[in-house]
Amino acid sequence: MSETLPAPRSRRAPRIKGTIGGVLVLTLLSLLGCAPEGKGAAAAAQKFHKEVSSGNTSEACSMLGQEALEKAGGETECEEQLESVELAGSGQPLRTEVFGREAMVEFEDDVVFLVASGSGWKISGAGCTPQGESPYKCEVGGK
Amino acid sequence: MKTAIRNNGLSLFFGLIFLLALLGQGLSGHALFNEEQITHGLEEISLAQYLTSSSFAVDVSENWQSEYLQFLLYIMATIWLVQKGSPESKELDQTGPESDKDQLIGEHSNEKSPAWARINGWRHVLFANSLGLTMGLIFVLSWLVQSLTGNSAYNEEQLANFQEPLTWSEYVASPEFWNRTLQNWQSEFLAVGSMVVLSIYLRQRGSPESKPVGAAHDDTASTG
Repeated sequence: MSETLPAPRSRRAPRIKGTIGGVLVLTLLSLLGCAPEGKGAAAAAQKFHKEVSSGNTSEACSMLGQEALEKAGGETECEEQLESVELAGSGQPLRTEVFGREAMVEFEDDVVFLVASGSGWKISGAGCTPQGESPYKCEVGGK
Repeated sequence: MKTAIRNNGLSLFFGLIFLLALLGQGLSGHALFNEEQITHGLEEISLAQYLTSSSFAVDVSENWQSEYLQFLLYIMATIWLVQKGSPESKELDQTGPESDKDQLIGEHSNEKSPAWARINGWRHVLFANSLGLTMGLIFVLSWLVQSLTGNSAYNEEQLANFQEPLTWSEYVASPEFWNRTLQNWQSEFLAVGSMVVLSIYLRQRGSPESKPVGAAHDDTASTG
């Protein structure tokens, strides 16, 4: 190596051509992703609030993700459980965060967590309040 | 055709095993991701969805950035630093960018020298540093991609755990980002350091990365 510019060791020959393009494509694809849109998450969260507040618990239960549904007693007890839940009014969404297959919608008086399901969203937590560094505590679903 | 393959065997071989390993990482990562989805009662995702996810992108880019950093440091450090007895080092008295004569630059260039090595000005400076600049650029881009996709993947986990997501600036100051980064860096630095030191005393017959088998241990900069 003394006669020439130091070259990378041949045991792992880098393929520079196309690598920069590959890096950019990788970022673009991963950031655009294939998850459902954020608007859909906010709409699903608002609809869930509406169904619960109007007493349409059957529809509200069908909007729950699997873990949230199990936490609400499964299909048999879910409707009864949701009847006793009092969610604060949602109002307009203040903030929607979507990362991969998870979303969070913050309303004036409530925070709702959602998980992607097919091309839509299911509720994983609703009536959630912050607990400092710890996970949000949710009236429906949650930890 | 046969000659072309033989003459480019090294780059073809590494290009092929790179693609196979990337494919393997994609397939095994997809299977692992879906195992975790099932554990948490979530829907499985398709391979295409996984390959365009931030989880896959951060796992790829965090390894890329460390590899390109490794080569960048190696290329730049070996200009100024030497190691007695190592074939990875220059001769002990040749530290620095070396003379135009040694580097075949300008009037010392020959008819086979690349055009930008024969001229002066910015094109000469650019070409004379093009390897380090390219490796450095890929390192910076890969690290940036790691930070963006890592932030997204981390936030996906945060939301799944009913916790607040982090902004990009919060993420690049987080233990998660630096742990992912440094666990890769330490292994790369160890590998390069080992290569420099082990090649003083050990040999691999026929490899240009080794000294000739019969070369003395204190023989610096010779390749076999």
